[in-house]
Amino acid sequence: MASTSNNDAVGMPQLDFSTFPNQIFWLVVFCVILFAIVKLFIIPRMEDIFANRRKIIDGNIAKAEEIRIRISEIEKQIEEEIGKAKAQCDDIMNTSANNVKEQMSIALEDSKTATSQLINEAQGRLEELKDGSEAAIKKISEELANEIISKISRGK
Amino acid sequence: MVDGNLVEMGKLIGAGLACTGMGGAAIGVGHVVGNFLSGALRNPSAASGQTATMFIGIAFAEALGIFSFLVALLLMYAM
Amino acid sequence: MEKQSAFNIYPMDQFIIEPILMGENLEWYSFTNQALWMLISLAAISFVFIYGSRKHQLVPGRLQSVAELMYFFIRDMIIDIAGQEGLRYFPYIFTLFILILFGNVLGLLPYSFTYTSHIAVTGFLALSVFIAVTLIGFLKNGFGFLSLFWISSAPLALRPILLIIEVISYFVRPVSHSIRLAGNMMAGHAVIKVFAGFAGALGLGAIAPIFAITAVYGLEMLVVVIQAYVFTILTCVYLNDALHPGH
Repeated sequence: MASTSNNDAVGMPQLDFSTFPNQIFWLVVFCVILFAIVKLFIIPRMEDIFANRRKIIDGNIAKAEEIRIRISEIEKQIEEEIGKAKAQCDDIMNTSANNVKEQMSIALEDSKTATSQLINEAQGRLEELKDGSEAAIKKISEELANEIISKISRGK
Repeated sequence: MVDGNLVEMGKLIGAGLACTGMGGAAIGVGHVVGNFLSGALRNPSAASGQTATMFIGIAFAEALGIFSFLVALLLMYAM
Repeated sequence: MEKQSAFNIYPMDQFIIEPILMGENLEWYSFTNQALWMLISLAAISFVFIYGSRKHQLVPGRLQSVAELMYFFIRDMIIDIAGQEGLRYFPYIFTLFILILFGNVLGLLPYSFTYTSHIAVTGFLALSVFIAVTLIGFLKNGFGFLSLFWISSAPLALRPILLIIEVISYFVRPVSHSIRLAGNMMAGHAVIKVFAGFAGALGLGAIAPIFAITAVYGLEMLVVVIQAYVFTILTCVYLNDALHPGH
């Protein structure tokens, strides 16, 4: 069992040094072939796939960047439009407010003059009425006095 | 050589004793992984970056156990 | 060995290398079962990487995404550990990874042969990594590579002791690197084989051993991939030491 060279079923085949040249020979052969496969087929292929993917991803990223720039431009335009519209709106509001004020003041003036006129008229009429009433009272009292006098004189 | 069987027995006992060294490697590997795990649970975001380091640590801890395994095999088969 | 004769379990039999072509005797050139399984794993690699991704699909299919996963996994690993300069050595490391990974995984098939369970194979791979890394270190940094052993962040009094430790651990690297892989593969397969022997001895009532085989087989599937990963990641770590020895 302690033997290293004879290949009976009990020892450790790994320590059978007589097989080492054979193992190393075939290992070297297959390593060289495998290295050639890796170098000639696998790496170019994988790098090709990777580069293709990279290219498409980069293209997509560039496109996305372009779209982003366009979006920001459109946003700026929209801002401008909104600003303009706001200014217009302010304008309209100001002018209409001024108009309203003016009209209001005119109307106020008008109404003031009209009311003062009305007041004057009313005062005039009041004076007239006052005068008229005095005369009427005089007249009525005179008539009343005449009637009383005539009644008294008729009673006799 | 005094007696072939005596030498044989000594070799086998020695191989068995050498195998106890692998228990040490087991403790070492368990220690590495356990500490990695407790660290990873505290900071899971940093864990994935340190997995390679953990495996290197396991490999180094395991290497010493493998030496004892080698000694056992050499005692049994190569001497 | 007499002690197993009652059960007739020979867990190491599966690792015997025997010529299957070109005669009965094992010469250095004879085509063995090991070489056959290397050829099969080569075919499997070609199938996954060349047949699987033959269409250069933008959105990968099943096989192509497996191939891409492995490819970019190793690529990112090298960049993470050894930095951008390490990418120069990517083809070598990738070759190493898929050779070991496919050897390990195909070795789990019943009746297959696991060539990574042989110390000659893993030792050769680990030694070539060791020699290559040492050469790269000296070519890139000149004698500055020796600063790897002279740890300038340690206190001065400790540095000679650390120097000895570092030098020893540097030269032990290929040993641990190769034995780790071969040992794991061999141990796992031997354990499965031992349980299979129990099952064979117990006959029809062998529920427990079969359950154990299933469990060990599941564990082995994990171990097989992790060991390929560990072998590669350690290669990257050694490469990083060679490229940046200052720390």
